[in-house]
Amino acid sequence: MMAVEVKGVSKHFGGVKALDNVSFSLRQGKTLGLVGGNGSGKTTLLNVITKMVVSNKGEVWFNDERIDTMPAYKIARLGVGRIFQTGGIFNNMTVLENLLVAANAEREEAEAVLREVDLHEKIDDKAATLSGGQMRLLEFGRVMIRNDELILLDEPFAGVSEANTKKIERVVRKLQKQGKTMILIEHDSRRIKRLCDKIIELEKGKIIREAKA
Amino acid sequence: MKGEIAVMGIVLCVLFAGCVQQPEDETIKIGALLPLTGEVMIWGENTKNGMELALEEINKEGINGKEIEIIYEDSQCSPSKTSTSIQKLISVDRVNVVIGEICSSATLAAAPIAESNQVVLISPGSAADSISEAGDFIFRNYPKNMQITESVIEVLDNLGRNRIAIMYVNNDYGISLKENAEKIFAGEIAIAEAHDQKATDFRTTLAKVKEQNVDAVFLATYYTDGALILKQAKELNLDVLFVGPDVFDDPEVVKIAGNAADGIIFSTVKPGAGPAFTEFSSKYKNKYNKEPGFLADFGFDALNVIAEAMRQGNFEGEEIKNFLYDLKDYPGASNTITFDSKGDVANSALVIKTIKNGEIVLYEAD
Amino acid sequence: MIEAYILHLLILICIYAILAMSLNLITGYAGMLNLGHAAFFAIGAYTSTLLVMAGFPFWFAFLAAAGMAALFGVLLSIPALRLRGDFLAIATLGFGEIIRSILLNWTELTRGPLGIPGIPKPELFGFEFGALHWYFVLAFAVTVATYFILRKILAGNFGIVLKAIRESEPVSESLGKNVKLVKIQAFALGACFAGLAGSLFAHYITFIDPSSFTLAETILILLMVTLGGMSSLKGSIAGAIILILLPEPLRFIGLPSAMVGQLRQIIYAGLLLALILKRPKGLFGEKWFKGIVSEG
Repeated sequence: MMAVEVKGVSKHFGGVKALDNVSFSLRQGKTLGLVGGNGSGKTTLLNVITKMVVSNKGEVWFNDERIDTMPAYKIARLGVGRIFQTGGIFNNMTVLENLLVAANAEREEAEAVLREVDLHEKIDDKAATLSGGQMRLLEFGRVMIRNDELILLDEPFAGVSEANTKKIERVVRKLQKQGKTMILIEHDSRRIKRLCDKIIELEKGKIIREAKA
Repeated sequence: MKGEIAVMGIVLCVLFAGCVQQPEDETIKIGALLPLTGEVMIWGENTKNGMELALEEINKEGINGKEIEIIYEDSQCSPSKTSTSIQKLISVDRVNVVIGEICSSATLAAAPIAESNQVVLISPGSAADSISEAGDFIFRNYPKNMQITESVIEVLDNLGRNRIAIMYVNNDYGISLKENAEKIFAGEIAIAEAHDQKATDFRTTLAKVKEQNVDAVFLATYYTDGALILKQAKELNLDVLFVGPDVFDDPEVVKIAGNAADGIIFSTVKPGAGPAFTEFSSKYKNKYNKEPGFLADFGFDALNVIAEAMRQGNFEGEEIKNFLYDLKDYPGASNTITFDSKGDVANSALVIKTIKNGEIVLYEAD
Repeated sequence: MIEAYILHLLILICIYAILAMSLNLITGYAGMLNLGHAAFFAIGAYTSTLLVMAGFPFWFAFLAAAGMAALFGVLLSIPALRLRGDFLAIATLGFGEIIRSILLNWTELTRGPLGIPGIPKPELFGFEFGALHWYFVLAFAVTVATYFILRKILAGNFGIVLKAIRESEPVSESLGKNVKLVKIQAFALGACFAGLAGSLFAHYITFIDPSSFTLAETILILLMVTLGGMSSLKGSIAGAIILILLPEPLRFIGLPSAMVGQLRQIIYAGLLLALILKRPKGLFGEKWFKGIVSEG
């Protein structure tokens, strides 16, 4: 089944075309690698899918349901999760609270999830005290406690230490084994080959290449 | 922790200050609730000036050798601040009589507290009709809105006017006058239109009034808007009799309206320049170097009737109350004072005036 | 006898503590500057008054006051929440003025500027809360209940979601939170308790008119919230205590009678300024509040 279908999506900001007639589909359980230079439209594409930005033209479908007409929170509730490039964590809340806001869960469940991302010792610490990589892992924790079906990852490895990079890759693999569908924005070509099933390359908002990884 | 300490500190300060207040026996304390700051502070100031003038004279001889001391509280025309102020005057300063407030809403908030503590409250400036029902201990020496309305209606009746229009200012004074008129006027009120206190253009309303072909227009207004109405009516060729209350007893009306003011007939419940007022006025000018402002004479009288009660040995609230109800024809600067059973000043003789050739004169029927 | 004065102040503190906590919920916890809070106070006061004077029992009027205020909280927030930051604040200010204008002009219902005197004291199960100390018991009970109810709600999931919304609305949305609905709920809840405070106020002062519910009133309540610390219920109570009590010691200082009114105002303003400068985060403020300024 097609988990994600993007049909003819265009978005411009002022005079600049951020996305130009983008169309592709992604099978359930597969991971799509999204590559391209700065400003090629990768983050905008994720924003359109999650409705953080409204497209000018086109449709987005998830699990045979049209989602571009829905408000952002409804799309999220369908099981669409996001790892942000920056600012995805609530700094002034504790690690535990960051998870509890994601899903109405008990403390034990949160602890279990934190164990999987190696953060259970920091459960009551303020999220601001975490390192960049730990914050990323916390976002993964949120995705896991929500049991998201479609996960959109915006450069999850950028600026992360060696140790944490390994941890994050481990988590990504685990989620893939669980059959999650993913769209991964990434620069490192070897990592893309390792983690993705297929690749789409964007340039100035247009798809210039679509291929198997 | 620091926060809690700060709060405790302030609470203790208040309690301490309150406890430290020793009841003094050397003076007789009277409370005063006045708007000393805020939008109507000029009224509060005038009233206070009148009271201080009276106080000076009273304390020359004293009452049984003791001086009267007035404890002023700035109630700012606000119901909640007034309730705090009077609560303090009664329970901390232990006064048996309070002069105040000026604004009707503040007086209405103070009244139940005065009443339940058997403390006399006398307002030198509140006109709301509902104050008449506020309690046995509640008095006022300022004319109430119904009295003002009755005086104007009397003029209309005397002149045989049956079909009138009412133009009223949209506040408690204007609305009261209009509603009272609706209650007591036997004739027909063809149209009643409100305007904002600060309005300056009445042409639309005047056009409506013209259409109605009434035989008189009741101006339930102040002198500024009233005078502007007269002026604009003349411009619109609206030739009809205008009647109003005593706000028109002011040379400013002619200044604003010019010869359009001619012909207006108005009633006064406050006789104005009687001998008592003239004497008061010159004493006031001596002390303050200016003419007495609005309400100064009412404040002067309020304190004086209280002092009179005390001179005759009445110091408890109940005693002062009884004295006031029994008081007859006290020669006050603002009015000859007799209190009716509701604690309002019974109507003095009606004086009807008009403006002729730019001058305010007594009205004489042709 | 001085206890009457103290009890009076305590009752006012209770009423304003409820107002401050309820405004804190909207402005501190949910991050929406509400300059029209006095309108909910007014709606509660008038609803309770009119119902009791029409013959309804106090408990019904009391709850109706909360309900009406909450209803208007919803009615205001649904359109107003399309706006951001400063514009939302201005919308709430406009709402406050519209309500006051309605109360002033709908004379058939409210008697307009004449106000409604003679409001009866509350009666529950045949017992009349007439005496001061009994009224204090009633007001105190409502205040304590308000504190514990709000604390419970804020300690739970709702509180966490509010915190998240304050930090980042888009991220909150991406986690499935219907931010607009949550904000409407916060508004309704805050309005609801302000309505209860209105009922307590009306039946205590026994006279209400629109002049008690102006923008100045909202600003006083906002001051209590700010002084006590945004996002701190205890802080709001402390703010109410301080601002109600602050002018009182000034009555006892012998100031020259010619200047007594003005001098007290100046001293009061000075003390307020000193307090704010010393503790800019408020007495119980945990962190510098952000979020009032327009987003983005």
